[in-house]
Amino acid sequence: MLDEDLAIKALDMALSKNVDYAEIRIQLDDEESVYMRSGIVEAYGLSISGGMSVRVLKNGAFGFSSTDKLDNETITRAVEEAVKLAEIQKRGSASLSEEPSYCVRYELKPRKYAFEVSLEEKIGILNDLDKLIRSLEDEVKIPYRNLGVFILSTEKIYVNSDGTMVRSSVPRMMLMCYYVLSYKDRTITRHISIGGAVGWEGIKIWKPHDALKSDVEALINVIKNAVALKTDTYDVVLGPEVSGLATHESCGHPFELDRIMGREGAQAGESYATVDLLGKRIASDVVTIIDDPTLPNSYGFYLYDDEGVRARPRYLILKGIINEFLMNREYAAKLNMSSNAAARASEYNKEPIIRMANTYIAPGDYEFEELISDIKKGIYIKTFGEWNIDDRRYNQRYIGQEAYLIENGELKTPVWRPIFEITTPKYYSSIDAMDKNLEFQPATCGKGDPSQGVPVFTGGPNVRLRNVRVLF
Amino acid sequence: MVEELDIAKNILEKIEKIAESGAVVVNRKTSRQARFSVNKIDAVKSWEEITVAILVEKEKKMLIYDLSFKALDRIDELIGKIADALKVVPPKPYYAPLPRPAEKYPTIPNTYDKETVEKPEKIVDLAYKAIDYGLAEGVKKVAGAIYTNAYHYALVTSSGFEGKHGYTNTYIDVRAFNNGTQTGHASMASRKISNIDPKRVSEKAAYYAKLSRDPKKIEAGEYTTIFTADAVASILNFVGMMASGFAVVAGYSSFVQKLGQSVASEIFSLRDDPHYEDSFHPVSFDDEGVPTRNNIIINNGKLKGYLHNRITALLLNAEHTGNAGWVFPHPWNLIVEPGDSSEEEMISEMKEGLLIGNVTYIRFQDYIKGDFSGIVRDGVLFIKNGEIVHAVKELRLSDNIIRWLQNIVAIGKETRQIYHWWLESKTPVVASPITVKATRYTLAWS
Repeated sequence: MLDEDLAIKALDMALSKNVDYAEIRIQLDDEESVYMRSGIVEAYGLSISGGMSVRVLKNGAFGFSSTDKLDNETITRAVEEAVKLAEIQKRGSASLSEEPSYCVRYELKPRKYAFEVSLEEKIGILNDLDKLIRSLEDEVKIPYRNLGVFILSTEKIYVNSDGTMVRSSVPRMMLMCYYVLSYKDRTITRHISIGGAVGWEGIKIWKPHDALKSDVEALINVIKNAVALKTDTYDVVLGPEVSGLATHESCGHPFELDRIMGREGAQAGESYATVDLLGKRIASDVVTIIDDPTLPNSYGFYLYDDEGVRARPRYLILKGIINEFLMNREYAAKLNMSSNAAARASEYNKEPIIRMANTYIAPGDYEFEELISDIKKGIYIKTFGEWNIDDRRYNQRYIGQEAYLIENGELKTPVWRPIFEITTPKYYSSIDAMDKNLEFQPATCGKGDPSQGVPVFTGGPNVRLRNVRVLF
Repeated sequence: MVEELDIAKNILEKIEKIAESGAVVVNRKTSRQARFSVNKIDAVKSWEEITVAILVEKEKKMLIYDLSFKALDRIDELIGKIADALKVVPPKPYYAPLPRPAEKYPTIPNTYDKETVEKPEKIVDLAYKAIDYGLAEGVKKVAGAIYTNAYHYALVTSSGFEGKHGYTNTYIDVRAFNNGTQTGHASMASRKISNIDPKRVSEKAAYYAKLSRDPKKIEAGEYTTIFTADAVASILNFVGMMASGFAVVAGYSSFVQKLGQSVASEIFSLRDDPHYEDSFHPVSFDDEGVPTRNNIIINNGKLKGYLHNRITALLLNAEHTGNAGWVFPHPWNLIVEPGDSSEEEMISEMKEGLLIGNVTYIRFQDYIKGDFSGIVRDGVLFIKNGEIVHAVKELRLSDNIIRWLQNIVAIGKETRQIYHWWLESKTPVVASPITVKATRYTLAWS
C-alpha cells in the first residue's frame, strides 16, 4: 500500500526550501511474466519496482531526484538533492501553466485480477498457443516460437504544491508472440501482441487462439505464394496495424510540443511541425486524428496525467487541420495555453514528459469491401515487419508482411514485402477514405533520456491512399 | 549502511531453504544527468536506487525476480510465492548448474573515480561548456546530455561464489543544429569524468552540422560510404546483440548456423572486452560468477563464437564466455580492431560516395536473413574526388547486415569509446570510422 502521508511530508519538506513549485510521486509497478521458448518455460519472472520522485521548480530551473528507500533520512536527502540540482543551474527560464487542482482517486477494476489467476492457467495459455503454432506447420517450418504473457499493475500517489492529489490504480495485460517461418529460401520473422488495461478477462475478449491462428495461416500463405510486383504507383490500403503505427509515428510524435520546441533534439529528434502550423491544413479533410487517454480499457489508459491534470481526448488533426499539440504544463506555458494532460512518467524514477496515450485515425463509414471496391490495381498491406521514420518525422517507411494484390475491387494473390516509403505530407494528402473497423494493438512507446517506455495503443481503421509509390 | 554483499547473502539463505540453487545480485546505483536543448539546461536529475535480482532453481526450473529496494520489506511474502511457483513451473528438458567459482579472476585497476560522482556542479559545468563550445563554432542550437553513474554490485551464488565490484562511468552526447535538417552529432564515454572533453565533442558535432548546409537529393542506389565512429557503434549494437547465444536460439540473429563462416570482410575483427583500459563496464565476473574475458566474435571476417551463459553454452555445445545475463547473455564492451587510415585519408581516397554521421532507428524486416534499414543523419555528405561536395537529404540506409559487414573496405585508426542514446542494446563500442563499398540506399516518395 502506498502512503499518502509520506508524499505530503516530502512535499512539505520541499516547500520549506523556498521552491516555486514541487511535486511528489510515489509509484509502485508490479509485473509478472512467463516466457516460453519453443514450448519450454524458459523463465518465470516477477518484478516489483517502487519508490518516490521529487521534482521542483526554482528560479526557472527543474531539479529532479528519486529514491527507492522511503525512510525519513533518504527522503530528506532526495528533497535536498532535487532543490540543489535546480539551484545550481542558474540560467533557468521555465514556468508552468495554471491548472485547476483536484483531489481524486480512481481505480480501474478488472473483472478478474490477473495476479490472482493460477500460474498453471497462465502457462496453460502459452502451451495452447505454442501447440497451435506447431500444428500449423506443413512444408513451411516454424523453427522459432517465443511466447510471453505480461501482467502489470501500476499504483500511484501524486501530490503537488498547487493542491492537487491524485491516487490511481491501473492493471494491464499483454500477450506477445515472436515466431519465424521458413520455406525454401524465404523467411518471415513476425511479432504480434494483444493487450489492454484489463485483467484476466482479456483472454476471453481477445480470443488469442483465433487471432494467432489467422496470423500464422495468413503468413504461411504469404511465404508459399507471395509474388514480388513491379515498383510502381498503386492505390494502397493500410490495415489497422500499419495505419496505427503510421499515425503514432508521423502525427503523434511530431505533435509533442517538447519535440517541436527542441527538447528531444539530441535524442529522438525534433519535428516537421512548427507552432505556427496550428490551424493549418496538413491532411485531406477526411482525416481526423485523436489521442485519447480515457479510452476504456485501452493500454494507454489514464484519467489524470503525471502532473495531476485531468485527461480528455485530444483532437490532433480535425478534418485535415492541425488542431492541437500534445502538451504538459511546462510547454503549454510557453504558448500561454493550458496543458492537455500529456505528461507521463514510465516509472517512479522518471521525470514526467510529453507522451501519447492511444492515437488513431477516426474511422469512416465504409465496410472493408466498399473501401477496396473501386480499386483497379492496388495493394493491401495488412501487417508490417520493418519500419522507421526520420527524426523530424518527415520520411517514413513500412514493409508489409501480410499483403495482397487488389485487382478490380478484390483481394488476390499475396505479395512479397511491399516497401511503402513516403514523406509525411504526401502520406496525409493521399488518404481519401477509411473503413469503419477500428482495431488497436498494445505497444510500448519509447522516448526521453533516460529512455522511458510507456504503454500505448496504436491502431485505427483500414485506411485508403490513392496513387502512391510502392517499392519491391 | 548495510553492505550490498550482506543483503545478497541474507536473501540467498532464505532461497536455499526452498530451492536447490540460486543467485542474488544487489546493485546500488547512484546516477546524475544534466539534459540540455536549445542552448539551455532542461533539467538536472539524480537517482539513488538499490535493485535486487534473485535467481531461484529447482528441478530444472528457473524463476527470476527483480525487486527495487522498497520491495525488500515484502521478501518473506515473496519467498512464499516463490515456493508456490516452484511447484507449478514445469522443468526444462535441459539444465546446467551454476558454475563453481573460478580459481582466478581478472584484476581491473582504477575502476572507480570519485570525482565522477562527487559533485553535481561538474555535470552542469560540462553541459554549459558543451553548449558554449558548440555555439562558438557557429551553430544555432546545441542539445545533449551528460550522465554519470556509480555502481556497487554484489553477487552471491549457491555454488559458492561471492564477489563485488564498484565502478563509475560517464558519457556526453551532443547534437548541433543549424536548422532541423542540418545537424551533427558526437559522443564520448569514459570511466572518468576528467576524460570527458566537451570541446572535442561539441566541435565535432558542429563540424558535421555546418557541412550539412543546403542538402540536395541524390538518386537511390549503391554508394561507397564512410560511416563515422558514432554510426558504426549504432550498427554494431545490433551485431553484438545478434552474437548473444540466446539471440541465436530464439531466432533473433543473422548469425544462426554461421560459426566459422565468413560473415564480414577479412579486414574486420570485433571483440568484446570489459578489461579494455577505459572500459565503460569494467567487470571482472558476470551474473553467474564466471570470470569475464576478451571474447573474439569476428576474427578477420570469420564468425569465431557467440557470447554465452551456462544455458546457451549447453544448448549450443560451447564454452561459457563470461557474458551471463541469467537468460540473455550480452556483450560488455565491443571493440572494433582499428585499421590504419585517418578519417581525412578515407575521405581523400574516395572517388565518389557518402559520409554518414550517424545511423538511428535501425529496424529489421528479417532477423534471420539480416535485412534492415536505418535513418541516416547528423552529416550525410556527398564526396567526389576526395572532397566533400554537398550535403544530402532524405536517403535511407536499406541493406543487409551480413552484406554490410562483408563490404567493409577500410577501417580508421582513430578510435573513440562511443555511448549515445541510439545505441539500442546499450552496449558501449570502441569504434573508428569504417568505409563500406556499395552500401544500399532508398529514397522516400514525395
